[in-house]
Amino acid sequence: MEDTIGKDEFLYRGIHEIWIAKEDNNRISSAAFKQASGCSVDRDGGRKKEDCISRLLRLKDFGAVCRIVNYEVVQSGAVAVYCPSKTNIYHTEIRDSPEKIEISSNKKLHYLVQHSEIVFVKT
Amino acid sequence: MNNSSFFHILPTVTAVAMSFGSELWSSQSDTQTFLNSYTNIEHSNSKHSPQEATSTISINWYNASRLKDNYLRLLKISSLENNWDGYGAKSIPKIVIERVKKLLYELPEGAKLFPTSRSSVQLEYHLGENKFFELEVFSGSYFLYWIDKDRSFENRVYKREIKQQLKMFLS
Repeated sequence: MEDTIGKDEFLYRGIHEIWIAKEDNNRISSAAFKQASGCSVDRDGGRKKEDCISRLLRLKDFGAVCRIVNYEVVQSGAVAVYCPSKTNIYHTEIRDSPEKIEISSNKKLHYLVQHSEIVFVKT
Repeated sequence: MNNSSFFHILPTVTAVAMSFGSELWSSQSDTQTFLNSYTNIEHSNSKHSPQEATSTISINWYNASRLKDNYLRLLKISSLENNWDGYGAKSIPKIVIERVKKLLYELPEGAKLFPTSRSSVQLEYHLGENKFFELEVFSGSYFLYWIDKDRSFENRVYKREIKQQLKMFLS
C-alpha cells in the first residue's frame, strides 16, 4: 500500500448510534467528525467496500458506517494523512491541514458530513 | 410570569418535577434544584406564545415533556464510558454535563444533543440543510456555529451571548 492516498480512494468511519438523528432521516451529526487527535478513518487500501465495513464492525458494534472519497476531503480544505498502527494498517487521520491536526473549522466539518455516504446502518 | 400565576400552576409544576425528577436525581436537594430552575423557563417561545396556548399549564406540560427527553438523552451521554466511540474517546466530563443541563432550562425546546470525541456536547437546532444552529459546550468554553443561507456565525462565545445569537439566527 502506498503512503500517498489517491483522490479516488475511500475513507471509512464507524458511526456510534448516538450520532445518528434517526428522526431527521438518519442525518449524521457533525459531532461524529469532531476528534481532537484528527478524525480517525480507515482508507480502503484497494479493498472492497464490504471488506472495509466488516473490518470496522469486527472492532465495534457501530450504529452505522459512512465513507467519503478523498477528493472531497481535499475539496473541503482538510487533508487525509496515512498513519498505520500496529493494530490497524489502514488507519488514516483526516486533519485540518498539513500543519494542524484537529479540525476546528465547522465549515470543513459540515462539508465532510454533507459529502459522506452512509454505507451501512444497523437494523 | 407574575407571582400569582406561578402559584396557580405550582402544584402542576411540582407534580411534573417529581414525576421525572426522581428518575434522574436521587437526592432531595437535586430535585429541589430542578424545581427552582424550572421556574426560570420563559414563556415567550414564539411557537407557544400565550395566544396560541390553551393555558399556561399546557405550556408547562409540553416543555416538561421536552425537557424530560433531553434529560434522558443527557443521562445516556453521561453514562458513556472511555472508548465509547471506538476511537479512544474519553467519557464526557461531569462539568460539561452540568453546563448542558443548565442550558436546557434557558434555551428553546427542540435542541438535539450529541457528544463528541473531544469531550464536549453539541446542542443542535436543525431547521434544514442550510439553516442550523450548533453550540458546542466544552468544560471551559462555548463554541457557536450557525448558518442561515447566506448569513453565518462561527466563533467562541460567552454564555450571555448565546441567546442573543439565537435571536439573530431566528430573525
